[in-house]
Amino acid sequence: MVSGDSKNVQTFRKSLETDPNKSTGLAAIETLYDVLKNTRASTAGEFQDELGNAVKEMLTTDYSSTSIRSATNLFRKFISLAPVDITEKTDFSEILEFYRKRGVTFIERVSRSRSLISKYAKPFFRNNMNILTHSYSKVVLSALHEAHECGIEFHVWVTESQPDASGKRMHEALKSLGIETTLVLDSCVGYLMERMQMVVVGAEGVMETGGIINKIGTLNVSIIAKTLNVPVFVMAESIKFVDEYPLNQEDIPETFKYRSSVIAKNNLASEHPEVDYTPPQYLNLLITDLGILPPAAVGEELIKLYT
Amino acid sequence: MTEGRTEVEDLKRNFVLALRKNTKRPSSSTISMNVINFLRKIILVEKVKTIAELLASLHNHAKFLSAVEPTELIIINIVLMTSKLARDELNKKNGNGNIRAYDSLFTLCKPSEPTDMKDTDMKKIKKDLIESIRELTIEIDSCRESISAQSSDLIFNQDVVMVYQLETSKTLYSFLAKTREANRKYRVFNVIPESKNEELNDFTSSIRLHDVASKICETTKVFLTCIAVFPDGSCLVPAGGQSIALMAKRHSVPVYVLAPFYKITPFFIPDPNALNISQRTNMPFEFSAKSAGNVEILQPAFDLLDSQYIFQFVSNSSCIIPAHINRLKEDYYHPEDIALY
Repeated sequence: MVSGDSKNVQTFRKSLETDPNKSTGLAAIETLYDVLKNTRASTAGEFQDELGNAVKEMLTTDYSSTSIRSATNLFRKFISLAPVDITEKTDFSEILEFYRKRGVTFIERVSRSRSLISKYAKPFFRNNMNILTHSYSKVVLSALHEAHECGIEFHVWVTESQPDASGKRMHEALKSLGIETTLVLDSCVGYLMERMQMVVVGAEGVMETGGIINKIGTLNVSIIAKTLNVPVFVMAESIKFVDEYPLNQEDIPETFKYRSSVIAKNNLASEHPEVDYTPPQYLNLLITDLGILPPAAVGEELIKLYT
Repeated sequence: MTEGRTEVEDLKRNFVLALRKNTKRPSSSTISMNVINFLRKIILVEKVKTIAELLASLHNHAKFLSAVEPTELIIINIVLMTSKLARDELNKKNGNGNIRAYDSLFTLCKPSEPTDMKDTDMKKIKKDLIESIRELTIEIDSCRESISAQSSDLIFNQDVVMVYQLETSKTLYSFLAKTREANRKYRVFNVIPESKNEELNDFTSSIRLHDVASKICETTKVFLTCIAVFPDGSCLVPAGGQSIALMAKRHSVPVYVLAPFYKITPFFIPDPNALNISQRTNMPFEFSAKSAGNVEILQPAFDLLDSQYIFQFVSNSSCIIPAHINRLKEDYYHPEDIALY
């Protein structure tokens, strides 16, 4: 734990470190719930400021700011969606009580997301399939695990996904689950693609376009898959939906592209972005905890929420 | 076994027999009507105490029938629609008429229990349900007419239209007939698969499937029929439809698919080959005796047509682009029902 961290950042880090399987988004939400539990705010404005500060603090860490932003935005939106008879109460503590209840249901539902995704994804796996995946994704891992548990045998090809070799972690994890897997070079995706029956990737964030922001290299994989008519499936929890509409790679917010510590150095010219944006035309379906959605449906979901 | 139980069994048996006794598959509107009538009888005959029981029994029948006839997705569609109607009746009765089933992201902050289904007056609900089922039959009945009514907005003078499987689709036939009534002067290429004999009629020029490539250059619009439409805008078309659509794409000819609402299937089929039956092939007996076990005759019945090849669906309400099918699904189905399949 880095010294000098505020209390919120400490809670956030601790939550992620004690349970390595926890998603960044869920940890961020739990941190906000912690703020909600301990708040002494007496007006809604004060309380929103407190939440806002907590989010700002979390964004200074090196965890995916796409996930933190989408999850916290949804949380703040939801807990404040109260019926009129509650918002009109003069005693703010009663309103806070309502918020807390909302928070608990929200966290409970979000923590079930991954198992729901595994359930929806299961029919897509078949015996003797060759599956290509890129980088390390907890959602993809749990879906593959569940399908394998059901007795479906398939071979997973994992790209190294440099610069941080997160694919290597994925490879190790799959191996320890007893799933047949091969670690391959990032540059051999084109060579391998003709043998694949499907590509599955996770996402750091799902954009309003229906496209995704994910570990750099996802775009390359998806374009090759599209060219060779291999279906690309994205597995992502709905707390990763972000109200952002990138038009091209340049248009991705800088905070999404670089870790906070890199931005702090103030010399982006010599840095390498961590993520890229894959437009919806390269994706077939998004498997989310809300069900299986075509990419075009994501925008509609977000519009329903943020208007 | 009680008296009521056998009656239900008989109903099921008769339904399956009626579906199978024809050598030619009846039209999809006939099948959907049969399903509705079957469900109506089931609802009347079965003694259920709560709405939850009613839904459970409907889904049981759906699963049974779809196991018997796995390729008829219409059966499940209609059952799901009926169960949505039952839920609507309950909501109406409990006074929360405008409850939104598809809260999608909003469901994240709601308690996760399934919809509350308290014991209510089943007699009243049953009566209302039968009434709304009757409305559904009227809607299905008028599908062909309302799709045909749009033909004069889609086909104009000097158009050259290519159609496929005209002889099996009454809807497509009446669609074309309607424009002729409007005195539109246009030409029709009727594509006939290799395995079928030519059927002559007075307003189409028949071409074979292998002539599509040369004739598509003259064509201005392609109209196809479909078996099922999926939420991502892809659809199952009669085998051969995909090659016509690919050819049309190459020459930028718009492809329209006629799709009445009961063909919208609310779930995805991950492996369309699983429900792709082979058409019955005629093989001389001598040949089949010699080749048994060595030769497999492949003649799949459907093609899965990706949404990128489809310009618009002509549904009974209006023309819709493939990306909007997902929205349309929300009008007819309840998410909790879909999750069961």
